[in-house]
Amino acid sequence: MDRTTVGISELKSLILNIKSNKELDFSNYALSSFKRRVESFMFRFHFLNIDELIYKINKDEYFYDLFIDDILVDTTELFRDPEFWKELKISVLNKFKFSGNLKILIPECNSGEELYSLLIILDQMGILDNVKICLTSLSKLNVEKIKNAAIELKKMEVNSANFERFDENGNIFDFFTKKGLVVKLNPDLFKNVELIHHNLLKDELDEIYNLILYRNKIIYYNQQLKTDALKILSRVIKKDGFIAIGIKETINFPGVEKEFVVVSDSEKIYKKIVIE
Amino acid sequence: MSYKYIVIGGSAGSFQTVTSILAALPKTFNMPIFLCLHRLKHVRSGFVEALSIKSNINVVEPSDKEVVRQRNAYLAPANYHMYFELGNYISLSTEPAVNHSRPSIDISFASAAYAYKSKLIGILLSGANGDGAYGMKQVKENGGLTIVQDPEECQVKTMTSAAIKATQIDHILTSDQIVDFLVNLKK
Repeated sequence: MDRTTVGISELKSLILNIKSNKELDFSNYALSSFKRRVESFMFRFHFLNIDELIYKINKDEYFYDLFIDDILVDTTELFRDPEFWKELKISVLNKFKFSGNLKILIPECNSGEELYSLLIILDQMGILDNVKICLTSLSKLNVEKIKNAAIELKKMEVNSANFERFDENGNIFDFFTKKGLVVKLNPDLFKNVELIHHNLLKDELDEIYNLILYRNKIIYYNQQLKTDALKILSRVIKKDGFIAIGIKETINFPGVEKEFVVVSDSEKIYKKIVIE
Repeated sequence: MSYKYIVIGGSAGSFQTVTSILAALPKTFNMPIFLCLHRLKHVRSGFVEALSIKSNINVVEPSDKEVVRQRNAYLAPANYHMYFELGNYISLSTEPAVNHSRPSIDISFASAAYAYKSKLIGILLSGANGDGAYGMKQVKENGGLTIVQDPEECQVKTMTSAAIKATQIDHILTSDQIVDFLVNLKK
């Protein structure tokens, strides 16, 4: 299949334009994958060059939302890395059994899989009422999509296989209702969830959290932005609170050893040790 | 010879060829090798170890933003796509599967082609789907060298045949010839 190709200078003019007109800054995204997603989007909507795309984005607010929704990457699986979820349950969530008013943040989500996976475990453990969960997304459309909690039936094969690796006696369909070609997560699980349209790198977070789930987000950033994002989050984790990042990601900014200890090296779960 | 990077893609039936390449290359072989091989997505460990047994070169699964170094072979991790950035480091991604594959050979090859241009050699081996054909085209169009394993020798020839159909391939070689070609590159 032939695809649209976009050069670095064209990509930079798109980024600059969005930055000045929409106050969203993609300059420090990892260019390789960002480039490919812009190219795929242009191919899909039959744009021949970047100027046409820029014109349309500026002219049509809904189209801009569509572009942002498309350019941000979804999580594609429930219970991705089942070993991670097992470890999270043992090392972190088990500690949540005996206290209330715990706060969990899931920042920069473009789809709901991480949230739904977490809700299912908390429900299994009977501790949904102990927690308040806040999920943030850069995209307005995504907030609605995540709230809707519908997953295409054809995607459930992978989700179900992952879940069985997490809990060999479990059946993921216990938590969903089938509606035509989709399944919907049981709405009771959502009672303590707040979903907000929010830019982590710009907007303040008012709360501090016992756990932040931040897996496979900074892979879309360059080294600089990755460090900035982790430092922002580090400031809103409670002492003895936790953060989880993707299994191929690293927290490696200077001074990090004074802020975090490793809870699980293979599953990349860290505990905050210093109060600022 | 101005080639400085090698990217190898393969799927069903390619493991043997990859291990013979890694076994034949000397410790002093100083071009980074990127391996994008289709693999079970939920099996995280064991593949690096299996490839390392006979290899003289250090085989690693890169972390995100890992700087590319000589004398290393980088294996795309299970359930991630592997990209190459212009600053010569690796980015990983969990974008949806391409050609039913994550890692996708098309993504790694096209990204390597863009980052390394005429310094890149793309090698496509045995495999059971069309992943890699678009990537090989990108390698060629960006001035890199394209090598495909002879479909007659492949356990499954869907992948190599698709690439040959999509692009004018520079060399169609048996796995022994691919090994010889790489060993003699730096002489």
